[in-house]
Amino acid sequence: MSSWRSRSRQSNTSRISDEQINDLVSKLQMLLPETRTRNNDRVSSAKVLQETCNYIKNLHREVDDLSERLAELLETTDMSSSQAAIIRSLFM
Amino acid sequence: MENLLSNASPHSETLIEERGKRIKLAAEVGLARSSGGRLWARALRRRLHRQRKLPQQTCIAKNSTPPLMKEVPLVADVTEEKEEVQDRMRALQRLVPGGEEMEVERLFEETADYIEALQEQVGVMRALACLLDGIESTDGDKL
Repeated sequence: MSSWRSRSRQSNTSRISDEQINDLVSKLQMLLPETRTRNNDRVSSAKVLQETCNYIKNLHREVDDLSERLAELLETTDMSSSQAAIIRSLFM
Repeated sequence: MENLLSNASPHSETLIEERGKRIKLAAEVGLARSSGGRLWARALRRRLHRQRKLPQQTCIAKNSTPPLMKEVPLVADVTEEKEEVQDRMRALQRLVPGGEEMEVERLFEETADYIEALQEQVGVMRALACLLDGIESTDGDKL
């Protein structure tokens, strides 16, 4: 195992086996609870990667939506200067 | 940040949009600063620095990790399924900041960390929105 690991770190390695990919993908799957299945069905690597990409895109979208919402809330919220100071400190 | 919180400005759509963009930028800067050692965070700081959105005093790694592989390496046998895996990996590389410079194993580690950081970001912003909602509703005459 250690031999392929050191080889994969060199820049002239151009091939990586399916086994290595599947191995890494299943590790990724373990790290991301969102991609785990409820039963223990084998999910394809492509599917895990796709789910991961979708998840990241969703998170990006949430940040966009929340930014808009915060902008609106800040517009309409009448707050005291101490409340404003607290919020300002969160941004810094 | 002062005018971000002032109510003196006239109500207009573009003002809110503008503010939204600045909030999003603040979120990005926060994200970029949160995980100093991570490759994705460094890549994000580099990007923000290029766009001149990040103040100079933030530490920018001069010699970032040299790209080990520009492209996800070809798998040993190219079949349709492997093609799909490759395509997905490339898509992932584009989503994770600095991903295009990472080798596969590192890409996956960075992805997991990046996702965690984004989740925290979302959590903070949600909490902030709830807080502001709370302030607004205790003021009484708003619906």
